[in-house]
Amino acid sequence: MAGAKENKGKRIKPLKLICSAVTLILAVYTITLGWFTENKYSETDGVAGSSVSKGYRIITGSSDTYNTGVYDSMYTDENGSAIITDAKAVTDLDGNETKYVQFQDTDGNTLSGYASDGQVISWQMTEKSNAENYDESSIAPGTQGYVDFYIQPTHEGTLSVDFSLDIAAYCRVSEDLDIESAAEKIVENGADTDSAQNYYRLGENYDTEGVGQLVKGHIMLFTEDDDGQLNWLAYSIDSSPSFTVTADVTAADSVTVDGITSYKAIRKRIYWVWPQTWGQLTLDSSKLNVQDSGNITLAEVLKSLAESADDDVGIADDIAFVGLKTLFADGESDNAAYEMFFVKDSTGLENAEECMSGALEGAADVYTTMKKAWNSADQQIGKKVAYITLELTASKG
Amino acid sequence: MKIKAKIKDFAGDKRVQLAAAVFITLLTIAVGVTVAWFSNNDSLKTVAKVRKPTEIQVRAGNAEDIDRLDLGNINVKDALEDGAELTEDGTYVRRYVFCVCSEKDEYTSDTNYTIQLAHTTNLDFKYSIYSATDITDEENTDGYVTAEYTDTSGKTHIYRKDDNITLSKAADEDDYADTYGSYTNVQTNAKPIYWQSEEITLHYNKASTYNDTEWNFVDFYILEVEWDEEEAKSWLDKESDMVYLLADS
Repeated sequence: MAGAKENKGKRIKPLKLICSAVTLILAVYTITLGWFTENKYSETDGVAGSSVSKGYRIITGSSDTYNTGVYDSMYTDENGSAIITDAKAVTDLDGNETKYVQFQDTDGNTLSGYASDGQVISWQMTEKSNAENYDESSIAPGTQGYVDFYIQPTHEGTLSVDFSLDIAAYCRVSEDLDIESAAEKIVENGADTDSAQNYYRLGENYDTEGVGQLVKGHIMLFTEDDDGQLNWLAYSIDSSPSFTVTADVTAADSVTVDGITSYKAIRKRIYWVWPQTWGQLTLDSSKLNVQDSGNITLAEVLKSLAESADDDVGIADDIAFVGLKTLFADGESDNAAYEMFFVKDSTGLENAEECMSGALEGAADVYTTMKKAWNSADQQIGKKVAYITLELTASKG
Repeated sequence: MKIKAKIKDFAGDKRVQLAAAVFITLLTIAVGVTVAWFSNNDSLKTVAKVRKPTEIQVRAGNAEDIDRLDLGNINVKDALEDGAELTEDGTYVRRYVFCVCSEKDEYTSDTNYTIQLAHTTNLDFKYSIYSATDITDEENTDGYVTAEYTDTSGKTHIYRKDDNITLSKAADEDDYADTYGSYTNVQTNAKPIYWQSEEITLHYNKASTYNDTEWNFVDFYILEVEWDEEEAKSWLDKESDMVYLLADS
């Protein structure tokens, strides 16, 4: 009996040890995760180290006056806390705490802005660089603009940063839709008031009649090459628009600004445009210019895309009008017209080119159908979508 | 096979130790990956407001279809027999009821709008617009200046003439140039001529039902056509004018 008892005690010891080890690890895991999650949205203390190791930092805007978007504070999580935060103090490259980062761009201009070190911060809005939200105005078909940001290398060597952009629609959601997972919302008139009005982020399972998809198709995003060529950041059925910024950072790029040594920041400009008519997209005489300089029309952009597309890849892949696809899928318009533009082989591409040049037989009918579909989609967006968010996410390439 | 056999050889507590070790290793990898993912992310974000399209309509009296708004023939010779009214100023008037309305749905909201009036100038009519109130159900309508509208079912609706809507004349040299460029030999009556009201936010009849339809708002108006009997004699033989009524939001 005594021997058996002793044996039992021996067995329990290592088990206890292992149990407590597992508990400890689990606790560390939870705390770490919690810490990082929290950091992502609000606090920045201590993340500066990781930002340096990333090899870059993202800086908003380039103006002396930092402007938060006027609607940004309405954007809250499930606890009613603001998701877009004003910039918190960050640690600069020399280890000093600062809120306002002085930097120099590749053209040698000395600028200042807020750095996003591992957190979500508001995009800087000015009258010249905006998403029509620097004052209480709003976007609508026929409006356009751009938003700027800077990538500042923190190391010498090859820098490669992947960016993805996302446009999300916020709507009043009817009761029967599952919005449990839609923690993100925009609250008008103050969260704790009787007149509070919630607008939920549309997602896969609760997209009001596909209107979230329409937004992704109708608000078009472009980046600009070094030589001024515009690249359409199109949504495809299953991916967000993305682009990569690469640079070879050498000692020559090192600059000292305000007593702090860093590297020259690369400016990246995102153009956005919401074409008013289908004609602006497809006709040579289109008057809507994407850039301020006004030398490229949307029709030209699409044309060059069509020309550069591979013969065996249809326009469906290269010009992904997710929104229009949804619209046609709803059977709201003539499916044949859709097929002419968006079939997944070279026919669609040829049709698009011929339609733009007016050479396609029945082009006028197709044009009429598409024109109506475009307008009807705009109408739907305008009626149902109250707000949109534009989000840029950077990750190391 | 060898590893499997070894595990089988382990005593019970060692197996637990092994399982725990494997678990912890996996956990460490998971933590490592998660941490890397979080620390390599930066986000910029902003919120933009989407402007609501305004859906306003111009409709006839009782919010019926615009087809029902018919100016028809105005008989200036037998004006009184034809339904015109003689005013104190000695002029004749005919009144027509129309409304500016917005159909109610989940998404509509109040909107401001302007009323625009344009017409050709063959006939020397004076056009004015007044806001109006539906007083069909009121018993005593004495002392009111009214206009009548007969709906599709034959029922007569009575509207009280309220305030004058100030129409500022907007046609000027610029409009002329927009239409004709530098060409100067334009007959007077072919020149663009139109008027526009100030921005209107009346919305007298909010969330009301007319014509079996729910409306977000219905604003009634009276279009008054006025002419002088003496002057009218000189243009009795003229034929027609075109009148455009627009609501612009």
